[in-house]
Amino acid sequence: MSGDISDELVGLLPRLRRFAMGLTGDSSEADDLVQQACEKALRKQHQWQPGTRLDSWMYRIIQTTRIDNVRSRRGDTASLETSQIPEARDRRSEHASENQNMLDQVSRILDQLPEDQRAVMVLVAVEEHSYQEVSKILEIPVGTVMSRLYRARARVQSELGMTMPAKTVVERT
Amino acid sequence: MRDEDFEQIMAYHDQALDGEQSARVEQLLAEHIEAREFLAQMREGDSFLRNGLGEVLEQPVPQHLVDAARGTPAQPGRGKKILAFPERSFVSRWAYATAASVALAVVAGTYMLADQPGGAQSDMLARAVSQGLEVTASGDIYRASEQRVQVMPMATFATADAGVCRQYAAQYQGEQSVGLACREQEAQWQIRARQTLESGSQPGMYAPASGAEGRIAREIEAVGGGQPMSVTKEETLMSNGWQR
Repeated sequence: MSGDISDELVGLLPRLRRFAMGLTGDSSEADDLVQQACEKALRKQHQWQPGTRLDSWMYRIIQTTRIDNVRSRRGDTASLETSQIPEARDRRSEHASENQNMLDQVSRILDQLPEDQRAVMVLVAVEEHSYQEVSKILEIPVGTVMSRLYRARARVQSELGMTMPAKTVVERT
Repeated sequence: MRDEDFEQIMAYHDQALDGEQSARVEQLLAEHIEAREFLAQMREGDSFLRNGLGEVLEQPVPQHLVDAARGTPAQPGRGKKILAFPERSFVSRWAYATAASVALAVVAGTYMLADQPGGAQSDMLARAVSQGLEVTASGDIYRASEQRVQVMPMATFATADAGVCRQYAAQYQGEQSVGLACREQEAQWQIRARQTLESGSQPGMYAPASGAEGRIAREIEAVGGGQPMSVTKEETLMSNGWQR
């Protein structure tokens, strides 16, 4: 029965779409991702613990589904830790020339980030989750959250014509 | 300043520090212009991302996602691009605020250029509506090149005389309107009914696309339009130059 979480899930949809848009940069792909995640969540809702944050659980499902989708498109199981997503970038480049609004600009900039940094960036800077929450959602150490976030911010600011200090960032795991 | 200092400033920005750590960062900020610039840039970058992606929150949620979240199968005619009427999120996007009366400026028949806004402006609006309806799927927003007019087709209807009409919402110079336009010859969409909304109007006070009430809905009925087309049908029709 889906009634247990479905009402709350419906209420979360705008934020889930925003997160998915941040990851994919493409509205259709984002909506497909959210739909997949909702279907998974309803199938696995017995795994969600009442009293815990449903949004965090959904972000986790979206992120893992996204990784699965990208790997499936790539036809391999290579790590996404440091890889870019050429398919997504190409598609966004096509859209970039069509529309110059702020959402497109943001999508283009986020697209410059590796997948792992993009998720951290959106969760902290946009969804305003704490480092600890992001650590749990992405199942990575807090130190890794911080180092990825620093790198992501440096790249975003570079794209915006600003400069962050050339700090030496070592990926912490 | 040391590398660790920048990471601490970032953590300060993200409210991840305890009181003592925050105090130390605040001291850095007081003493180093570099620290202040770093924090300001970080705030600016984050704000840019938040504002940009914030647009997504103001978009209507496609019905098929609501269906998916409720675990109910998608219903025919409830395609992802077909909207009954802008929901709350869309309303905020177009700056419809609190309750107020609706200025009904419904123009039956052809669109009167003398109607508000004034002649040249109306002409521009009518052109943008025509251009937007020709090339834009329901649920997407068409922006005229000068970015002053925005048009969102909301639903597409087949008419009894083998024509096509579309309901739309438009915004021009702060004025919002909804209307119904039907495709005439040579890619021209003729506005058949138009309803100007005073700022502060409530969406529930004006015509839903597929509902039985409202003047635009009655105009849809008058042209023999039934339920909105499915996404697939609309896409096919648009790719065929709206020829049925």
